[in-house]
Amino acid sequence: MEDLPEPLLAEIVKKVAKRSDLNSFSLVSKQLYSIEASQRGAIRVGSGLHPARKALASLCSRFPNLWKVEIDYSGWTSGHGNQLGNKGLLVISSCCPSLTDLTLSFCSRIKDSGLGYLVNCKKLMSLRLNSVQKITSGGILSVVVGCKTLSALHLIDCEKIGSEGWLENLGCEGSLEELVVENCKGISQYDLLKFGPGWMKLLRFKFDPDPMSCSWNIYGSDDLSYVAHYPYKYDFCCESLTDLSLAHIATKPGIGLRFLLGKCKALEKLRLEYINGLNDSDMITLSKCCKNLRSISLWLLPQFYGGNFRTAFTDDSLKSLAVSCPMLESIELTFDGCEPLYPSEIGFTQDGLIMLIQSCPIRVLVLRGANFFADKGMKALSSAPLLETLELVCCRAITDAGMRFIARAPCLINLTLRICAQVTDAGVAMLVHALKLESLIIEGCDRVSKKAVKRVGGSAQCHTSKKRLVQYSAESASPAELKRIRY
Amino acid sequence: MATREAGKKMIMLKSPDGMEFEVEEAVAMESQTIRKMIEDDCADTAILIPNINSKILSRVIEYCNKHVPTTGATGAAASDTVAPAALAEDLKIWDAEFIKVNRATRFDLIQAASYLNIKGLLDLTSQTTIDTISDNSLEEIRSFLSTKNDYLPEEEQTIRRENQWAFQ
Repeated sequence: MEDLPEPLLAEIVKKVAKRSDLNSFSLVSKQLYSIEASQRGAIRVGSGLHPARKALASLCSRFPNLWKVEIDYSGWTSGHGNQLGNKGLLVISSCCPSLTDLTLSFCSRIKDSGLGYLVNCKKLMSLRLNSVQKITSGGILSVVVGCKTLSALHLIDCEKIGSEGWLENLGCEGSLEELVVENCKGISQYDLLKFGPGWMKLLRFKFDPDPMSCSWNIYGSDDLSYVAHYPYKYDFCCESLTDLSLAHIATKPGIGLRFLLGKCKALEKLRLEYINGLNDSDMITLSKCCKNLRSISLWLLPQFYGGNFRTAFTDDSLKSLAVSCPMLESIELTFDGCEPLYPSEIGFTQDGLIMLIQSCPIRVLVLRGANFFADKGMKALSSAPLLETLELVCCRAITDAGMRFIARAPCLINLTLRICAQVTDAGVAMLVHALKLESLIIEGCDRVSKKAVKRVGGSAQCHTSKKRLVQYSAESASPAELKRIRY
Repeated sequence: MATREAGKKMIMLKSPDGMEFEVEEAVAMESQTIRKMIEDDCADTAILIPNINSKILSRVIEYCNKHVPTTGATGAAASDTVAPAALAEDLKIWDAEFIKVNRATRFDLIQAASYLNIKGLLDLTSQTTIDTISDNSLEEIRSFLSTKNDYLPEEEQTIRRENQWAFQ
């Protein structure tokens, strides 16, 4: 019996996904131990590491080809023993010559001086800091100056980090492609203007200064981080940006990150979550500028516009998107805090949305709290030639008649209904005839029974005879965001 | 096998035990190794495939025949007229049947796929091997790979301790 030569064993070990199997391999024989060790590119360690630095050092020498290291102390208690300190990063920087990707989460002992050791990681491309509370701007600056290859930086829940020094340096000297700033109190939207020429190279940008805030901020409160006479500069472009996500900020015309909306010619993916103060003219400017837009996600809350209390955009915005963005294929609209009794609280109408659906090659549509969307809308969707995924949450106007329409949609593969109170078993039964439906999820729809959903699951697709996947729950397994939508 | 159609270029493959296999060029070119030989003009009469006996080579050809794109000898991607999803499903079922072979044959197929550089076959054979030994005991894995435990008890102990951190 011939055995497999070592390179082929390595080839196989490389494909093993299960940790427990890799664990076994290392114990089978010394040969497999060294094959596994040299194949290993990534480790994720945390509370179990004890004594922390020594244990990490032995791992780094065992796995000489690590390119990705994640240190995650979430769930750590003092009972786990001391966390990894600054010197731990010295170990990493000296023992992992191939390191490109480092994530530190909930590391309470790591300070700026520790981060300073990373300047020796000459290949570092991605740094993610998640709740590393002792790090300040100084620590980030040393990495930015030392690691010129850095292309992705994520700062999440790091309250001591401000904007001094590093943002300007990174903007002028660096080559950052991805920047994520979430819940860092020291970095405001105006601070980010210091990134200057860096905007030109950036491909993906996400900014959310306060993820926990939501409905309260509806009366256009002023942004306290704005300094009245500071010479903010807006004379730069961001023509590479493809992916933009902004959340929980208050804006006024002409200042702050709002300027991005009219400047990103390459934009493909846009997400705006509870941005206060936007209006139709922003969306019209954006749609005219972003001809490549493929995906848009809007999370909206009614605000006062003159005498009207409504969500930010009207059908004029939809019209502009329909005319100017011929590649738009994914639309997600969430209407938060809009009372069904007052339809005018939503700036869009059913006809406006139908017009958009009919103008763009829509593949994915997600509507939450869309009180205006009824069976007429479903009829329009039934002839959307490319629609593959439809998710309707708290869309109370949809009835069984609408279900009869949607069952005819030629390409529908995934359908999800959550808390759609008027849909009954009879409507769900129509889906047996859906041509390509592969997955059906029904949650929290009071008038739909498990039996009806199962019956759809028992029926096979007409042309492939493949079984459908169905999922039913009487309660809506509501993600946190669902709670915010009043219904 | 389908009857030979006019105009399709044929290639002769020879195994070391003297068997000859005439196959369509497009089928042979599923192997990147053979493709390179053909493109470099090293294949006017017959190509000798060293180290792969006729039994294994015929299985490899069977695999390539099934996986060659359906548009013919051009080597272009599969035609759009057949529903791609249905085609993929069909291939998956065929693959699962194809790989129901004993351990020795499977190892030979892995080596052949590696030498001939046929990515799909290498993926299939190595993944099946992984699935076979997944969740097995150490002794079972050792016997499958015909290796021996060469650890001292204290060495094994050290690795077991370290593995607690290494495989979080």
